[in-house]
Amino acid sequence: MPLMREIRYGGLRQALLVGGIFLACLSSISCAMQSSSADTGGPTDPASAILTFCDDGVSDCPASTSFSLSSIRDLVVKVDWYNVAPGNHSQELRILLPEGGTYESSQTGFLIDSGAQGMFSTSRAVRMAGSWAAQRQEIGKWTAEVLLDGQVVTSQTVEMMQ
Amino acid sequence: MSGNFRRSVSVSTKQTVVFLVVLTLTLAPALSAREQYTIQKSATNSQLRAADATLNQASATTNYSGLPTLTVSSHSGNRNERALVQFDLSALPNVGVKAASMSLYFQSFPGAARTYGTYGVTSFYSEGGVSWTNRFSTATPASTTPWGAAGGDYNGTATNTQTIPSNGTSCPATTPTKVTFNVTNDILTAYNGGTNFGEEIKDSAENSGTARTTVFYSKEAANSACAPQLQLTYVQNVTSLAATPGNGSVTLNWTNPTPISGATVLEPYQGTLILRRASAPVDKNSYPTDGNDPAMCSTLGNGVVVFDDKTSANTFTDTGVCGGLTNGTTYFYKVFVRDTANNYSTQSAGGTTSSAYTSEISATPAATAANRYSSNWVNATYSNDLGAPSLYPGDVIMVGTGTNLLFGVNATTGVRIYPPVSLGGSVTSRSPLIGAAESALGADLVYAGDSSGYLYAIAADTGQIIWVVNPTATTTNAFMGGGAVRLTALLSPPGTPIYDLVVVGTNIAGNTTGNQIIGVNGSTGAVVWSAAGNTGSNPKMDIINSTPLVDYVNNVIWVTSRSNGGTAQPSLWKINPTTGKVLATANLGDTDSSPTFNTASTVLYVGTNAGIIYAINPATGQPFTGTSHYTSNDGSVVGYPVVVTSSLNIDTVIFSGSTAVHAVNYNTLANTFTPAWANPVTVLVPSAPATYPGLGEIYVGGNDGLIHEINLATGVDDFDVTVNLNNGYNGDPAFVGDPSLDLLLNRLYVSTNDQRAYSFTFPF
Repeated sequence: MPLMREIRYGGLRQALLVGGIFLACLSSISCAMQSSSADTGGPTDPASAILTFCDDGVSDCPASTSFSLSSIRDLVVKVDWYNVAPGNHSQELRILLPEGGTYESSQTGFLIDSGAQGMFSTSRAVRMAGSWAAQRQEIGKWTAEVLLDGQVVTSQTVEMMQ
Repeated sequence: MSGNFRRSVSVSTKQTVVFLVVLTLTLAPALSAREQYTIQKSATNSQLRAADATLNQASATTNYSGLPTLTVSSHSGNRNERALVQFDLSALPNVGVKAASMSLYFQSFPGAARTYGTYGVTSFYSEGGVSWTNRFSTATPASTTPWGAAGGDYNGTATNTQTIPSNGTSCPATTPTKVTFNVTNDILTAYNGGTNFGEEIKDSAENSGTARTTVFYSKEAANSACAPQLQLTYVQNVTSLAATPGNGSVTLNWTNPTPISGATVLEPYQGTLILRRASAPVDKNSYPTDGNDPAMCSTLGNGVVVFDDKTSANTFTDTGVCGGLTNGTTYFYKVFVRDTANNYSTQSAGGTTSSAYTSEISATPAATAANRYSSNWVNATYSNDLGAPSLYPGDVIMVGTGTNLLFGVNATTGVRIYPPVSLGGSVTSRSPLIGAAESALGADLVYAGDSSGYLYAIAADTGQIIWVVNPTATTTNAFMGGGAVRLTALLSPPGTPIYDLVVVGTNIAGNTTGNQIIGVNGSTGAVVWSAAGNTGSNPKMDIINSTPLVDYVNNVIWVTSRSNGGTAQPSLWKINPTTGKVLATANLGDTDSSPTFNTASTVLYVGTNAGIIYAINPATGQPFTGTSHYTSNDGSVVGYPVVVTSSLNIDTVIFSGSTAVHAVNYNTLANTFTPAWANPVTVLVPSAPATYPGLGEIYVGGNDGLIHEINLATGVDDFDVTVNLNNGYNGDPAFVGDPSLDLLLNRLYVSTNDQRAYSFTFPF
C-alpha cells in the first residue's frame, strides 16, 4: 500500500492530539485495555488510535472527513496507534457501509518493540473509484472501525456525498 | 464435555460428592451440545484445505511445511520456533457451533514443563510459501509478502494457554499424551463471517537459555491417529427449506438434519422454532437463546415466533398465526433447529460476535396464483458486494465478499457446499467459474482476484486453493475487476497452448499511468505476459475496474480502463492474447464498465463513465465512422451493456445509467443509434441488466429492494419481485445487485447489501 503522504504535526497540534487522546480515553471511546500478552515495562495507559482520511486522487491527499463518492479515487485511511503494549499485535481495519455491512476488511500484523513508545502507524488505500459502492450510490455516513487483537478500539465516521 | 459424564463410572461416596459438585459446575456446557465431530486427516478425510507448518527463526526464510512434524521451541539467539495449524472445516458447512477444541499429539517433549499459547492467525498465508519472515512466497512469479511482524501475524491475546508436560507418552501409543486447547472463540469467528487462517502455537516464554523444544505431529504424520485434531460441538441447520405461497397463507417445508456420519450424538433433535418478519429478513441478531423456549407469538429481536415445534415436524402452514398475513406482502421466515435441551442452530454466545444466520426463506402470498412468488433460497454470505454471483449453471454459484471470503453455494438448494474460502483480500467482482469439461485442468475452477493483489485458482467443488500468485509482485495493486479466461478448448485448433489463459487488469493505488494487463497460465499461475502502461511503446494506462473480454473470433483480448479523467490517454485496449502486445487503443474517456460483443462479434460496445455507448470496429479498435455513439446523459454505464441482436443488422444494446435502464438500437449498416423504447425505464439506481437472446425480458436490481422484470420489446416494467424492503438503515430498502441468470434451472441469483444472496425463478 502506498503510505499516505506524511502528516507533520507541530508542537501545538501534537499537544492537542495528546489532549484529545486523553479525553477520548476518559470517555472510553477510543481506548482498549492493554493486551494480556504485553511484556513488562511497556506503556501503562490503554492503547488508543487516531484515524485520518484523505483522497489520494487529490493533490497532497489533504485530510478530510467528507468526500464525494462520484469523484473520490481511493479513500486512504491512516491509523496512528499510541500506548500499544510491546509484543505482537494484529490490527483489523473495517470500512463499514451506512447500513452497517462491511465494504472492506483488512488485517495488518505489527510488532511493538519495547523501545517504540507504543506508537505505530498503518495506512490503507481503500478503492472507491469504479466500485459497486460508487456506482450504486452508497451515500451517507460510512464508518472506519479499527480493532486491536480482535477488540474494537475506536471508530470514526466519514461522510460520503453524491 | 458433556459426553464424559454419560459414561458409567464407579466411584466412592466421597468421590460422588466431588463428582456432583463438578457436575453442577458443568451443567451449562453439558446441555450445550447436540453432536460432536472430530476433524482429523485420515483416509476418509483428506483435509484438502488444511495447512500446517513450522516457523523457524533460525532459518527465517525457509519453508517447513509438508513434514510429518511441527516444532515449538523456546531458544535464545534467535532460535525460537512456532507452529501453524489450520483445519479444513468442510465436513461441517451448515452448523451452529457451540464449542471447539484443538488437540496436538507429541513426538517429543521439552524436558521441562512449559506454557504454550494458541493464537488466532489474522493474515492470509500460503502453506507452501510460509516462513518465519514471509507469509507468502512463490518462485514463479518471484514474489514474497512478509508477515506484518516476523514470526507470524496473530491476535496479541492468546485464545487459550495450556501447560506442556516435561515428559509423557509419545504417539502412537494406547493412550498417548496430548495437549488440548480451547479454540471456541476463533472457530466461532470463522463461522460468523470471519476468516479462518487457523492457529499459531508458541511458547509463552521464548528465548530460553536452554532450548526447550516440543515436537508435535503434523497432518502429514505417518500414523494419522497422531495428526492434529479439532473437535467441534454443534447443532445442524435444516436443509431444503422451501416456501409455497397461497391466498393469505405460506407453507414451509424442510428436511430435518440427521447426525453426521462419525459424529457422537449428545442430545437428540426434537423440532424447530421459526421466526417471521414482514417485508425484510429476520436479522442476524434475532435468535432464541440456548436453554430457553420462547412463547408462541413472542418477539425475538425483529422476528415473531410463529412455530414452536417439538415433534420433529417438517412442514408448517402459516395462515396468519400471531397476526394475519396480507396478500401482496413478502414474509421472511428464519428456521432454527432445536434439541431436547433447547439448544438452537445458532452460534454460541461465547464468541466475540454472537449471531445467527440460519436457514431462511421468503414468500409473497396473493389472491391469484399469478401474483404469488417465493425465493428458491436465501443464503447468508456476510457480503454487501453487489457484483453478479459467479455461476456454473445448474450446479454452483460463488459470491465474493468484502470480508475476504468466497462462498460456494449449491445452485439448487442454496446450501453452502463448504465453509467459505478465506482469502487475502476482498473480492468485489464476478469471478469466472469454469467447468471441468471446459477447463484445461479438467477441474471445476473459479479464478478470483482480490483487493490485496492476489490471484487464485480455487476448486469450485471443494474450496481448495489450487494455486495463488501475486502477479505484480507488489503490495500496491488490487484486482477490482474480474478475470477473463481464454479457454484453450475453444481455440482453433484446440489445445494450443495447453493451458487456459487468465487475463486480469490492475488497479494500482494512486497510479494513473503504469497499470498492467496481465495474462496468467490458468494451470500454474505463472505470468505469461504483461502489458504495462507507459512502458516501451505502450501508452499510459490508468486503473482497470472492469472485466476483460475474450474475443475468440478476432483472436484478441479487449480491456477497458480509466483514462485519468480525460481523453488524453487510452481507455480501450486491444491486446494480443499470445504475446500481450498492445494492438490498438482508443481514447473514449474514463470507462469502468466491461465491453460487450454482439452475437456475430462484428461490433464491440463500450459504455463510458460519461454515459456514452460506443460502437467499436473490432478490426481497428476505433469507433465506426458515422453516428457510432449514443449519449444517455444518465451518468456512468453500470457494469456492462447487454447486447441482443434483435433483427438483421440491428443490435439492441441495453444498459443501466444512474436513474434508468436504457435500450438503443444500433444499425450495423448505417452505423447509427436510435432509442429502442419511447422512454428509458426508471429504476432507483439500477444494477447492470441481465437477459439473453430469446428471453424477451430484462432483469434489473434496484436500490428499492426489488428485482424489476422489463419487457424487452416494449420497455414496460411489468413485474417486480420483492427481495428486501428494509436493510436496517433508516428503514431503507436493500440495494439489489447485478443478476446472474441460470438458464438450466431458470433461476436468477442476486446479492444484496443485506449480506445475503437470493434465488428466484424466472420469468416472474
